[in-house]
Amino acid sequence: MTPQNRARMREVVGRAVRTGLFPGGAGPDDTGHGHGTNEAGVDTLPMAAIPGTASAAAPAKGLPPIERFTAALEALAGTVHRARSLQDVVEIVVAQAGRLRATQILAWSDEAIGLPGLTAALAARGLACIAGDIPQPNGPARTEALATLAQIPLGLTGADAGFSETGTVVLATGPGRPRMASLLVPTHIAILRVDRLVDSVSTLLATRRDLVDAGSNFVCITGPSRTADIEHTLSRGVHGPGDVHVILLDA
Amino acid sequence: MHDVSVPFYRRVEDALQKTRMRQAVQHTSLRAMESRRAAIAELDASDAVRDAARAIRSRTLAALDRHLDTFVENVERNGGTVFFAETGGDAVDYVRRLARDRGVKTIVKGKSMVSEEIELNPVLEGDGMEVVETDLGEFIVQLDNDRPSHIVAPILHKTKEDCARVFKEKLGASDEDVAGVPQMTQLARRVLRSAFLRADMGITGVNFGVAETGSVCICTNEGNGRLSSSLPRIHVAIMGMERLVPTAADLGVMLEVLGRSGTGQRLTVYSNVLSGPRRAGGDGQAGEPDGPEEFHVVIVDNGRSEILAGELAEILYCIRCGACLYACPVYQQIGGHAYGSVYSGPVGSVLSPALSGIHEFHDLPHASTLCGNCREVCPVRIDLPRMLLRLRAKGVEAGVSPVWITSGMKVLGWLGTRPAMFAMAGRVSARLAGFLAKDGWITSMPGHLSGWTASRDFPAPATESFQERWARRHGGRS
Repeated sequence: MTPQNRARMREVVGRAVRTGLFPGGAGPDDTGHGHGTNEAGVDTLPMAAIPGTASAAAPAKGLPPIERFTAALEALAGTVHRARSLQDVVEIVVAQAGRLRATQILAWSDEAIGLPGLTAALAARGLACIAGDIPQPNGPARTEALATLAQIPLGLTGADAGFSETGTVVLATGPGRPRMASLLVPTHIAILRVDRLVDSVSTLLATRRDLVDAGSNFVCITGPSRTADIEHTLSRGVHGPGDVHVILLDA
Repeated sequence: MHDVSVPFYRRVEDALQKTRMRQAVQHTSLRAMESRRAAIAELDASDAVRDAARAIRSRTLAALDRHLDTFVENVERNGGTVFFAETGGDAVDYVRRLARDRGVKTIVKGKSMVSEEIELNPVLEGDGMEVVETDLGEFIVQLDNDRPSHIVAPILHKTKEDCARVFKEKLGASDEDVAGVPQMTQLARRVLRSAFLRADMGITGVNFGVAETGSVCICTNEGNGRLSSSLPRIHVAIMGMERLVPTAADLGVMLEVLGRSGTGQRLTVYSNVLSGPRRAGGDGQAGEPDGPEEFHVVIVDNGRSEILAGELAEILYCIRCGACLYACPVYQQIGGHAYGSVYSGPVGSVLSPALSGIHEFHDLPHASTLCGNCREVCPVRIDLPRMLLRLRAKGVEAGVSPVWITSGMKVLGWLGTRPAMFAMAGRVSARLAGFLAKDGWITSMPGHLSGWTASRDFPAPATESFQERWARRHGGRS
């Protein structure tokens, strides 16, 4: 942003703010008009003061987190698996790959998933994990990489958190964590450690601001891709994965 | 942004003739209202949550200049670029120059109401670029040269037979391709997937900007917002300047209400938060494997600062969930197109004249029964009826009301300040109306008054006026 453009923004919006009427709130706060650090700009909202945001969805109320998560995701036509070990995870992934006749998996790195030896164990069962690097400059290499990735039927990722209220998995990008592993593929498997389950999106965001901009992309995924644009009729797998599996891994 | 070449009353009449469209709108509205009600009811203290959401919007706007400044600082810290566009034209020019400069040939678009407001697509297409709408509804709208009729559900006015016809005519689809909604969805996926893979630029809207992290949040169910922001080399997010929340914690609260109000979901499938372009590696550390090289945020004013400065600032609290459209008895009857604006329904009836001036959209504030259902369902409790009334008054002040209303009101004002004349006029009109009545009902009135009785009967007035009755009962005491 050019300094002129920024000065203009401050002037135009600043002038408007000084005369506007904003009913229903606490009114303008008194931290002044200094722009400044993140901290100075933060208006924190005490989440504990809002009953309901962090509370259970009515139908599943009273259930333990894992059961709530399972009920919520299954209601959206997602699938939940339970695993206690690396070996359990491998068996589940191999079974899904077999169903899809997949030989390649667009996958996060072992380090990113947090399961050392996963890639090697899958390779031993005939499944190749593809890292999914997309070259930056436009050209044949990029086009070729995209064409290859677009053919892979299965994606495998870890998860940084999950919401038991909604059956959501939370993914932050970073090295070894391609966005496409949860997006370009028709079937997505996410591995979520059960100790990373929290109630809901408002609970997580109230405490884990660091996750939000840890990478260039932070995404909360709640079930399979879907649309109801035509006559409010539900249809799955319109752009993202139409088939979503979550492996709940006991910590 | 609009189509107001035909008078509003004519547009309404046309809409009322479209029986199939009206059935589609009513059917969907009622289903949407039911799922919204169920989803909101799940929250333990839904009123408190809505109050919290409202407080966030109010606090943010009251210091919007400061929050925008923080936002800009943090987007730049993340490696993104920001442009503040005072007008729609400025925003269009920025995107156009960027696209030309980078040699862009194909653009994929996520759903963005602001881009429709500033009429971005025709300009880019005029430059020879291929612009593809990727939201299923918007894609069908684009194929059919139609316009969206709801801010969340753009083809609310179309039946599945309408959609099948569009796919057959425009894409040469076979009968099997359009046999049902799942088949049409898969057809669209195939066609749009190839556009995603060849696109150079992705353009999306923004549901929420987060000041403290310099992020934009895009909520979609289909995943087209994720693909548009992740696959092409350049991502441009177009954001109405009021879309900010100060903190990640605030974002959490807004996400709790947006999905529930908009589509009756606890959360939309993808709450997608973007903080700059893909992170490069360095110092032996690997970078991110995918994501765009360039990340631009265009902050659009286009009349918003004028609204912010005035007594209608509350309309900028809106989070575009679309619940007030479904809830409005007028919208349910006429659908979105008759409003002649990108923004329809109760929120559109306030936002359109507020953004474009009362002259162009003076009729819209009257397209309401003031029943208050919109205020009732609003997740941030916007007092829409208050603003509709205020805009009606503005219309009178600006002299854009129909002559028969302004002159009629003058006559009424004149009579109202002259008790004897008022009483006489009451007696005379009661007698006259008595001649027209049959069995206690007036079924047709002459001339300009015929509008009253065209579609409903009018009860015959009492033979004795209130004043006469008062005089009789109280013996002349006033």
